[in-house]
Amino acid sequence: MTIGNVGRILPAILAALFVLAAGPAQAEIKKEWIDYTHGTKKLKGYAVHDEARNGKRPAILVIHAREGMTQKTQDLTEMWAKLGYVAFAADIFGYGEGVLPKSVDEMSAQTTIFRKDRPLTRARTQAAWDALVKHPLVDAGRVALIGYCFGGDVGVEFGSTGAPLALNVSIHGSFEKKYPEGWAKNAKGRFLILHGAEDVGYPMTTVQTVVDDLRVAKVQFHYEVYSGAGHGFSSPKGPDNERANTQSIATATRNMREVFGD
Amino acid sequence: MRLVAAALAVLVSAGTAQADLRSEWIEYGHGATKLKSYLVYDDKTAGKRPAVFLVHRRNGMDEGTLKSADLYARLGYAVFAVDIFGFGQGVLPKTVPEMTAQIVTYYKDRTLMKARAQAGLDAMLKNPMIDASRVALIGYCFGGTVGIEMAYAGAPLAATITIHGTFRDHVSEDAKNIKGKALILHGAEDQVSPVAEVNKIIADLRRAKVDFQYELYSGADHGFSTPQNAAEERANVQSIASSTRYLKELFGR
Repeated sequence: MTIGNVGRILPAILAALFVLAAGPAQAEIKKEWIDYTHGTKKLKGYAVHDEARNGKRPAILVIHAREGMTQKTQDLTEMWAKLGYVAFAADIFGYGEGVLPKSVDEMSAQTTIFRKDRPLTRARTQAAWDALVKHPLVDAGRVALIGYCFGGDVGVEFGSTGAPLALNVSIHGSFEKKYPEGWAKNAKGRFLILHGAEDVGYPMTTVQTVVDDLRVAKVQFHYEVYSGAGHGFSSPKGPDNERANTQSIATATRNMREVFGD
Repeated sequence: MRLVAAALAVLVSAGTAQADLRSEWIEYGHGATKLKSYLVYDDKTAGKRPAVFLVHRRNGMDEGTLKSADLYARLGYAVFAVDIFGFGQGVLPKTVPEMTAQIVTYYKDRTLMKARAQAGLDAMLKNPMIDASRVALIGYCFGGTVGIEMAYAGAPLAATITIHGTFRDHVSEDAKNIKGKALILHGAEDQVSPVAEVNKIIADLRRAKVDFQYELYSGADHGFSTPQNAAEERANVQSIASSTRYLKELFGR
């Protein structure tokens, strides 16, 4: 290509550059805390959306890991909102009353409550769902759940209620060794299971039981395993976890685009 | 000016989408067997390029194999669909018993399987457009066994990708010889190569600390790249998206 040619198409190039540059710059990420309750429990979820987009849109219900409503949970919620959806981090533990476990013991104490009391887990998640679908920008017919670690177990439990989820994503989900017979028969939408091959606490054999239950119930799923990645690869340590993190975000994004058509 | 260069790069890369595919038959021999493999590439990519070494299903060098080759060639790679059965001397199984007769020959004789595939790899690497350091193998069904066999033998592959692969009688310890990565794309309802067969390979790869990714698609049976229902349509779409993303990452283009 000659300089003359460049000169002739320069306006077109500059126009293309302008469009490219203007796209992301126009995004106006709005963050808000939404107070809601479950019985007498005061809860506070974190809602994020892009104000540059108009009208109702798909939504993501983010279920946090054992650490609760940390900065990381908020950062992940913002990441998913940037795809153009309303992302809402559910408050499971009671952040609205100040519950934010600091030590591993405090975290385990919290998760144990919900692991033991399954009706509580379902009801607490339902409260978050109800708060989310009240959001004026949410298209309640297009909602995905994304659960991290503990949140993956919550996703299975909430999915078993027949909640109208389009997509139920677990990222290094902390699954039970065996869920009650037939739990998957009411599950709606597609399960997307993104897991590390070297997850010691929640090994592939455990995930296989969840996969087998989904197969028996003929629930749609996509299961993806990453070599070398341990539990918690979404806070990556080392190149294997980095790769697993990148791939899991890419696969989740692709699946959301597909099920939402948006 | 750097901005202009960047914009031009965008325009140029957009241009390759319209590239035309060129294909040719590459004839070579393996012992007394005459072989004829299919090489396909786009005519817009200049210089050396990464390559896909594609190993066919039990159907051999049929229309489906050529179509799969064309699919990956459109990504800007040279694709070489290797002749395993002897298409060069007219072997193209038509019926299932004919297909089975062919694959059993190679399943039973692993030395022949590897040597036949190697002859193809050698023929491919002679082509000056191919960057020998950037070769990925994609194997369908029977081609999955060939792929794992090659990889376990230490073939210089940057990645081995299986799409509803079969994994027959591999020597687990040989996984330590693998040079590159592995991507396993499989149907959860594969009756020919069930999940238990895949799990054995995954265990080998883990033990050998191979960089791998494994994807399992619900409702998909063997051969989902020729989809028979909605679940297999989805598996096919996902597997193409995943392999495409994987190759782009692997080759950096």
